[in-house]
Amino acid sequence: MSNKHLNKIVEESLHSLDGCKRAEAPPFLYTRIVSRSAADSQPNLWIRLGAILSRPVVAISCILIVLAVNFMVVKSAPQPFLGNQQADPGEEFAFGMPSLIDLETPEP
Amino acid sequence: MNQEELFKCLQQGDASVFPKLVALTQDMVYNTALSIVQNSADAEDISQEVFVTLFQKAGEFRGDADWKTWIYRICIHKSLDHEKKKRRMKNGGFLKRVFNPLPAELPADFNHPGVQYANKEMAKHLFAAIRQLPEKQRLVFVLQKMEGLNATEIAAAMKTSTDAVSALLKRAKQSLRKTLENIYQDFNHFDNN
Repeated sequence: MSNKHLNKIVEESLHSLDGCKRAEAPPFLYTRIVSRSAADSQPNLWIRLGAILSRPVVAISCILIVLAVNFMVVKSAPQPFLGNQQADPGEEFAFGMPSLIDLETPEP
Repeated sequence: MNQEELFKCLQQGDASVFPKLVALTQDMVYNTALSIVQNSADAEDISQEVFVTLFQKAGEFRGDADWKTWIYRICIHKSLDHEKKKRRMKNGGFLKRVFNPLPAELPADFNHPGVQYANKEMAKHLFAAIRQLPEKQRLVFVLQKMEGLNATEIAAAMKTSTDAVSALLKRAKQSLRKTLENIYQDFNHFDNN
């Protein structure tokens, strides 16, 4: 396709909506508006709540708030003082190798 | 009673004029919505929403703009809202929008019923190109071409200046030219192969 031909088609396309008539609304639109209006006048609480929560901005904000609250709770929780009372795990659980005497001493 | 008088009656709470007002303005609303969303079922849905809002909020209209401009504003708002909702409904639509903010899906071969028969094929490509325009450019172009509004009326409907409208129109036409060139070059490429 030559440039001249291409430009011609593009220009024609740009003017293809000239003289375009208005699209006619579908029949019975008024009846549908009335029934919709009646339905809208009795809004279901759960539907409205769901619609609000399903908005990405609201959903992401809620997640961020929950994460922030979690983080703050974890950060502000008092650390348990272990200090000197902490038992040596080696002593507590006897991780050391038992001697042969201990192993082979028969119980009375 | 003309349209303006009917609207004033509705504004004052006379619900009996509503059916007449709907009958007189339904094509304007439907055509605007259809030209924006390029889908007849969605346009009908939007038209219903617009008229429900009109009925509920007519009393709140302050008269700072022409009443038709106000209806155009509602229609534009509802159409854009509908598009956003539709995109959100798609799986992963939000993430796609975050990482790729370009318009989502192109409706396949939209044909506006008011286009002259001889221009149908070219208008189809033009609508595909319109769909790829940024939101404001798309609205300005559609309101001018499909509703025949002038720059002042478009500026009022979009709450912007006439200079901004002229600039948006100019940019819209430039973008459309480029997109159409690509579309026709692609067709030519396929025809040759």
